[in-house]
Parts: sequence; C-alpha cells; structure tokens
Amino acid sequence: MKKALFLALGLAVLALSGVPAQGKITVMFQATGAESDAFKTLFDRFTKDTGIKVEPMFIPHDTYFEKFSAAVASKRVADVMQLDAPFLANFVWNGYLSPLQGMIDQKILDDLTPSSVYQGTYPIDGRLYALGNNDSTVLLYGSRKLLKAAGIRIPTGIKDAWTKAEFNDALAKLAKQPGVKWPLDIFRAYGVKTEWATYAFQPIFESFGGKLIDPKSWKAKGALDSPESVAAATEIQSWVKKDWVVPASSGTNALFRDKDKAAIAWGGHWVWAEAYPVMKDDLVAMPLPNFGKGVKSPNGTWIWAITKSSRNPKAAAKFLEYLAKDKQLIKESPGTFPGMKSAAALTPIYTDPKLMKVAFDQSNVAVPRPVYPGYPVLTASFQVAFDNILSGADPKTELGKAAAAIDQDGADNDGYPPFGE
Amino acid sequence: MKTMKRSRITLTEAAMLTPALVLLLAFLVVPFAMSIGLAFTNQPLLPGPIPTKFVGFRNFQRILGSIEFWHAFLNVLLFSAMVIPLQCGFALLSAILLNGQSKAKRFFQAVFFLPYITPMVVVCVVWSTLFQYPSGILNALFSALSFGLFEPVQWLHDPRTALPAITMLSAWQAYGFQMVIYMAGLQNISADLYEAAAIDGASGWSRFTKVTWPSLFETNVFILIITAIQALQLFTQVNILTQGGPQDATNTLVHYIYRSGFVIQKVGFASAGSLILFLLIVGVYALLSFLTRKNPVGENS
Repeated sequence: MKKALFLALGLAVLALSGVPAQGKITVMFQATGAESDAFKTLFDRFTKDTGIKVEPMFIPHDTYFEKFSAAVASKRVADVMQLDAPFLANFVWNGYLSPLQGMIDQKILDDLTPSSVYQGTYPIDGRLYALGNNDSTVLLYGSRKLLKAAGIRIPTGIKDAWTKAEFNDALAKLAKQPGVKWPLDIFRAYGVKTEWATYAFQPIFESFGGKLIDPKSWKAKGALDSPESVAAATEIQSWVKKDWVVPASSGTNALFRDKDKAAIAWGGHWVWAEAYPVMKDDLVAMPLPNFGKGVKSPNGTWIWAITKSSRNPKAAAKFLEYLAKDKQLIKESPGTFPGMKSAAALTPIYTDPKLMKVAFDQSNVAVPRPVYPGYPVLTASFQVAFDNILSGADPKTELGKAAAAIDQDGADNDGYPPFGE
Repeated sequence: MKTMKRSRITLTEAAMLTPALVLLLAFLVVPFAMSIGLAFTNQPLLPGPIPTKFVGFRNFQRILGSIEFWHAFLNVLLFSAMVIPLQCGFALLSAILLNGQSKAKRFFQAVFFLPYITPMVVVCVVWSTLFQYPSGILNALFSALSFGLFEPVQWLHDPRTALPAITMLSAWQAYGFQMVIYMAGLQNISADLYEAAAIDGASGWSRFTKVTWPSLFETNVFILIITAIQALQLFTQVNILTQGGPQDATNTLVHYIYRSGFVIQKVGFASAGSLILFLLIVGVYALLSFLTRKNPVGENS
C-alpha cells in the first residue's frame, strides 16, 4: 500500500515537472460543442498515425489571454497554440511564435487561400506564423420571396454586388414590406463591446476607402478619423437612425422567425446553418455591398501556431501539417468555412452557386483586421466608439477619441519597434 | 506554571491559525501589495520586448482624467443608491411576512433564497429573455397593465433604462441573503416588546415603527455596509448583459478595471484602478460606520 502510494507520488511529481517525453506535444486551444469534440478526435487520430502524444490544454474562450499570460509567466507555454487571427501581430511582436516557412511542407502553404495567408502573415518581416484549415466571412442573407416582392435585384456574385445607393434603396423598400419589422439585422445582439463590431464592420471602412490605422506609420490619427472612415461610420449610423436595424435586445434569429422579422441579415457564414433549416430555398446568400472601393469582406478565425519556446518544434510542425491535411476535421465540424483551397471540395455548400459559393468567393476580397501589435487596444477603442456611434453619438468625435487612445498606446510602447531595431 | 500553560495555548492557537494566515497572506496580502507596486508601472498582461518600467503617477493621472472612469464612478454610486433600498426593503418585507409563520416558512424561505444560489450567468440569461424587445415578458406585462398605452422599451439597450434594469435584476437575485439575516434579526427581538405594544393598543404599523425597526438597528447597520460594498463591486451582470453600454450607461468601476487589465491588457493601469476602487470602498465603509456609530434609540429601548 505504502509502496503504491510512493509510486503514485513519484509519478505525480514526474508529471508535474514538465519534462517532455519523447514525441509528446502540448496543444493549447479553445472550442465549444461539436468543434471541441472534433478536435479531441483529431488529437487521437494524430497520435495513432504518428505515435506523437498530444496533451490537450483546453482553455475557455473568455479567459484565453489570462491563462496564456500565466503560462508565459511560469514558462509553461504549450508547443502548439491556437490564437485569434487579429491578435497574431501582438503575439509575433511579443516574440512568442516561430515562423512556419521551412518547418511546414510548402505544398500545404501553397494550398492556403489568399485570405488565410493574409491573416497568418506578419507584414513587418513578411513571414507566415500561423495557419488553419478554416476561415470565416460575413455576407448578406435575404429572403428570395421578400426581395422579389419588393422588386429588388438579387446580386449573384461579387461583380454585381449592390452599390451603396442600391443597398439603401433595398432597405427602404423592404422596410415597407408587410411582416417586416426591421429590414436589416447586423446582429447587435452579439453584444455591445465585442470583437463582432471590429470584425464585421472594419471592411466597410475599407470599402469607403478608410482604414482603422495607417499600415505604414502605425498611426490611427488621420486614418480612423479620416473623412472616408467618418463617412463609413455615418452610413452605418444612418441605418440605425432610420430605424432599419434590429435592436440589440431582440435576439439573433430575426431573419428566420415568424414575428418581428428582419429582411436582410448582415451575418457570419455560420448563420447559414441556423437559417437554412427554417427558410430552405427561400434563403439567398449575397455579397456585402460595394460602398465605392469594391466589395471588402471580413476574415479570420482561430488559427494554429508553433510557439518559440516549444521544446519539440518538429513534432509541433507535424501536428500542424496533419491538421491542415486532415479531412475528417472538416467533415466533423459542419458549416466550416474553408481556409484552404483543397478544403473547399469537402464543403459542397461553398462550391454550389445556389448555396454559399459567393461566401467562399469573398475570401479573395477579404481584408484582415489591422495587423498591428497594439491590436488589443485598437479593437477595444474601436468597439467603444462603434457602440457610441450606433447609439447616436457624433461619428467624427468618437472616432477621434478612439484614434487618440490607440496612438497613446502606440507612444507608450515606443511605437512598437520592429525586430532588430 | 501558569505562564507556561498560557504560552502552550498560544502555540496551539498559532498552529491552528497558520493555515488560514498562509492562505490569506499568499492570496490576499501579497497580491494586494503587488498591485500597489504594479500601479506605478506600465506592466502589460503579456510580457513583451519592452521592459516594465516605473511610470510614476501616470496611470492615476490618466484614470482620473478619463470621462469613462468618472462615468463608471457615478454609475456605481447611482446603482448603490438604487439597489440598497430596493434590495434591503424587499428582503425586510419578505422576512417580516415569513416571520412567525411555521409551516409555510421553510418552503418560502427556500423559494426566496433560490435566486441567490443560482449562478449569475443563469439569472442573466433568464432576465435577458424577460427584457426582450419588443415582445418580451416585461414589455408585454407593462403593455397589458396599461391597456396598450405603454411603448415597449429596450430595457438593457436604452441609456435611460439600462441601469435601472440591471438594478432590478441584481436586487431580485441577491435579496435572499439579506432576507435570511433579517429573519435572524427578527427572531432576536424579544416577544415581550410585542406583548407590551399589544397591551398599549399599538397598531401593526406602529408596532413596526416603534418596536421592529428600532430593534433591528444593529442588523440594519450590518446589512447596509455589506450591501454597499457588494454594490460598489458590481460586475458580472454588466459584463454578461451590456458590457458597460449603451454609451457607458452601465459601466462600473470593476468592469472598467477588468477591461483595462484583460481586454486592453494593461495590468499596471488596471492595478491603479483597483487601488482607487479600494480607497473608495474604504471611504464608503468609514463614512457609513461614522454615520451609524450610535444607536439613536440608545440602550434604554
């Protein structure tokens, strides 16, 4: 009995000491529901096929950065970690990630969609730091019947996307349709100060010719409060002012419920899976409008990277390659938006022009959120401004305040000096 | 002999105190001392290439110069002013109703206490459906009661109603705690006092104002201070339901600190905010203790 106790104690000490067994990697990730199950079976398949053990470190989404910072402080960072794409620059600048070129099979890197390459690359050194087999986008969903009844042209692809005038005209006409309470749902129900604001609306600023931050000088003043950006914010605010937008306390199902309906939803690719079972062939996917400088769409999701402190980078690279090539994972996560060209074939809804092909086409015109090390401050400041603007505050003032906060943080960090300087 | 015995007892006492002291030291005193130190630095959440350095009072200057902070500060005071009377009044009312009842008491006591032991996340999900616009239960109820005159309100997303909505939810969720304490307080009131009042022909109301309320003085002081401290730390409901919006109408100090530390990732800045909150709580505690230092009825009651 005593011996067994000592043995158990010894094993526990060994396990806690963190010495990596040969061919073992730790993987830090966040996921919920079906995705979480899909990752777990992926880990099992990987171990079975390669003999490399995976120690999963599941971290709830909301405490991801807290736990990561604790891991850095105690020098127990995982070999492979998932991170939200817009925070990549912050992680690279902080020196946590290894570049992937040379570690990962070039064929896999060539298979990434332009959007995936864009979101995984740190522009200062032009190297790729993270990849994933999935991506995301935001598009317009509508009801065929309602659009026809209101006499509105249904765009079929990015080339014939609605213009600003057409979009406003469509909303005005739809507002008058019987049964439509609000013509447009922009999913304010996701929360007031959440990443959704930056994610879903930053491309509109770009389509107006504005930017959240100057990509060369890394100054928000002159970009976020430029006339183009103010015009974009004013446009979005005008939809709310005209009472066209589903309010925040009205749920996320306005497009496909019976009462207090919306006619068009400005929603993520995942909305298809929620709306299609209810609306069937009445549901139509359309590109985001072109506000002047072409259709620009959001992108980015949680992508995978190898940490600089990994003691087993070769095994970690093998895991990333395995994940990129794995077909089962895509099959098990229904509604996955392909982040690799070859993955599109596995997700038939994204190749069928009657279904979601337009969504996948948008990955050619995707603009990532600013790839800037100060992104945490940038997005938080933008969210506050966006909330205030939607609630009726003056766009120029609010964007100016946000720009000042972003630039103050930049100055506090000596302008986020690039490597080697 | 006697002194030896005494020192042995102290030793036992010390041994028994040690575990609690170690935990308090490790998880309360040390972090508190650290946060005082961090408040004067630019410490980020994720350690990076720029070394942490001493920045003097910069964090404090920026916090005290920010409109967002003062908005949160006023919101917290406003929330306390609304929630303390509502929550404690409701708790006292239910305690009085349940006091003296024998059979129904346990059942209703458990029912009234239920929200308090329900996780706040669950409470928030339930209430957010009550608050739905335009046809949530609360809007439907008001509309029916006013024969359709009431215009549906976006409870949580209208700057005018958001904080009162959070107040209602908070009071409902937590009043069970104050109720239990009031019930204990009520049981401590001697039955003789009520008998004497009955002989004097006191009505129900004057029995409450002349006997119950004065006798509850100590309980009231305790409840006032506990509720005030809890109210000043309002966070979970706000973080789940409104994230401080709309237009900062529900922003609170703890939410402001949380966003500074974990969203904007400036731990030094957030520590300075925590220190200000700490001083505020100490100040409020001192003020309340001072105002309630003497039982107005005195010992001869």
